[in-house]
Amino acid sequence: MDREKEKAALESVLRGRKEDFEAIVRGYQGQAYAVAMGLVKNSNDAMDLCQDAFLRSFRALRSFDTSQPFFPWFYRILRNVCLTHLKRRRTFSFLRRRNEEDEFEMDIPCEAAGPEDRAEQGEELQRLAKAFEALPPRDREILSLRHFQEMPYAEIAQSLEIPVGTVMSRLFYARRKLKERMEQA
Amino acid sequence: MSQQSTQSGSNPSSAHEEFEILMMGALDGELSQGEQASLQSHLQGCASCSQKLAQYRHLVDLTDSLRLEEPQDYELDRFWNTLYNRMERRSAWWFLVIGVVGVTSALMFEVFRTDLLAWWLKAGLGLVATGFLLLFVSVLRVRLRTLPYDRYREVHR
Ligand SMILES: [Zn+2]
Repeated sequence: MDREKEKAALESVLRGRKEDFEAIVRGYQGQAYAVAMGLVKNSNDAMDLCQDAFLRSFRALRSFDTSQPFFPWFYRILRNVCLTHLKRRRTFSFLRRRNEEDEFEMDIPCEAAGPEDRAEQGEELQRLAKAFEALPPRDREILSLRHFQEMPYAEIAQSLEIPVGTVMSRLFYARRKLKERMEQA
Repeated sequence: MSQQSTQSGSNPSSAHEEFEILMMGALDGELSQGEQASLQSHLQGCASCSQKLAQYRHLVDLTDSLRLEEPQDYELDRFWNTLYNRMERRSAWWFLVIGVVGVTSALMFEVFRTDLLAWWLKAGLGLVATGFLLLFVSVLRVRLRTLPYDRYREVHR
């Protein structure tokens, strides 16, 4: 989203024009959804958690410095909301029935050349999706930021509140786990 | 100082791991020139790391082609509408609070000032008003607490 437009919209919201928050929400809802999905793996929950996070950010907007980019600040709120949800779900997990397991849906593109290559690549992607799903939330999170959000390291560091130097090693541990799980499958 | 980062022979596995970490930066296009050079020179003499780099490159490409299923347009429209309603609802509650408390207090003030009512009627009306306000505030406190986060939603789904 364009920084100038974003700043103008946020300042207008702060002056009381709530409806201008729409531009912010529409600008970031896709990214927010992808992040939440990466963490909680369930599309209904991801949508609800995004709602809560946008609502919280709207209410906390007075504490936000509009000269800064919105998304990393919002991301920290969203992340808190998602991690609280995961923690609570672990606490209440005995209440969940077995068949309510999370569904994790991924679009698996098949644009490879020949049909037999395609089948092979499709099979590999299936294995990757499975391995990805089985990773701990924090590994899924950093991989989502890198691959689904296409964030540079500096932005990942800002979003996760970790030093830039740590981003590379955390990506390494996550990818190594992913590779191992794929090889096991 | 520089010899420590490129050649730390005493612990081979952690030395290779250091380069595996650098591979991430290389694949993501995030290495400085110095890091790039030190990785290159290690790769020239290390077959196992070169092989690892190829494996990681494949993994990164594969992960890049994975896409999360995106929400439908109608879901996104509904998303904003619901959110806006929730944003509005809270101010509606505040208007209601200020209005109800204001009007009740003004009425009570008038009731106590007037000479037209007997003392016991005034006392009775006072109790009614106090009870009403207490109930109102308690209902409201529950509402405002559950509004931003409905914590039992997932339990009775
Ligand atoms: Zn090596």
